[in-house]
Amino acid sequence: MENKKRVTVLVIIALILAVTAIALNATDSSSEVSTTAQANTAPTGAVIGVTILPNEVEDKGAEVPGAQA
Amino acid sequence: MKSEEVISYVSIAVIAISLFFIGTELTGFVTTYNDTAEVNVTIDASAGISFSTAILDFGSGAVTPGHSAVLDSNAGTGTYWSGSNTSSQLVLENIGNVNLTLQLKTNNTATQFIGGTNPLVQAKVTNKSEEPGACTGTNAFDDYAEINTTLQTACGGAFAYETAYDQIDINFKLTIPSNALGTRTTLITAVGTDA
Repeated sequence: MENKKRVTVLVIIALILAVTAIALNATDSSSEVSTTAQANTAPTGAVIGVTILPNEVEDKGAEVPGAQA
Repeated sequence: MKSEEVISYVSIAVIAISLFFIGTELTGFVTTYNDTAEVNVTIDASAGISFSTAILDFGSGAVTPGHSAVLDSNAGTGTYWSGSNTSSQLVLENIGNVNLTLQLKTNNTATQFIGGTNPLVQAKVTNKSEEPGACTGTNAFDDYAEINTTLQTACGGAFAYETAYDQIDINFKLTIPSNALGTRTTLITAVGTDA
């Protein structure tokens, strides 16, 4: 009867250790989960420019005196 | 041999093997000489655009009375315009490491920018000459088209990030009526979104 108890304890210990070893092997501690996020740019700007000068106006009254026929 | 003895021996063997594996897992001790390891590095996506040429100056000039001047930076021409012709353009570069979609707009309407009667501001987006493939997909500015204060898609497929083809030219055509006057500027805004 005493031997049966010892064998039972031995079997239980063996089972616990076996399950622990299997669990440790199955757990891959080096695995990594990566995530990605959508990337947007901050608005960037440029400038276009032009300088518009006054029109050249033809002055028909500014003719040389005496030039008329 | 009794069955109890067999079970005992098997249990002892299981305990020994289990302890061996638990020991190697916890200590990292490796019993083999040919083992492999893996090195990982994760490079995050980085989106960025920048105008490498950020100013387009059409210079100064007068409009021929009774006409509207048309200044075209792509053709390098100016009709009914007394000033010099301009053949430069804005250059936009994708400086990130992801393809983007691109949208453009101005911060002023053509009337606010140029003034006068029926002014017009048009833009044209093309790949930089030595960088074909920089801009793909839907392009509202494939040929000269009016640009306004609403974001419009320029590179709907992708504005590429690869160094060999990551730059585009943005040309402008201004229609300036004869009753416009003064020094006029407007801001062109570009927005990139992760494709």
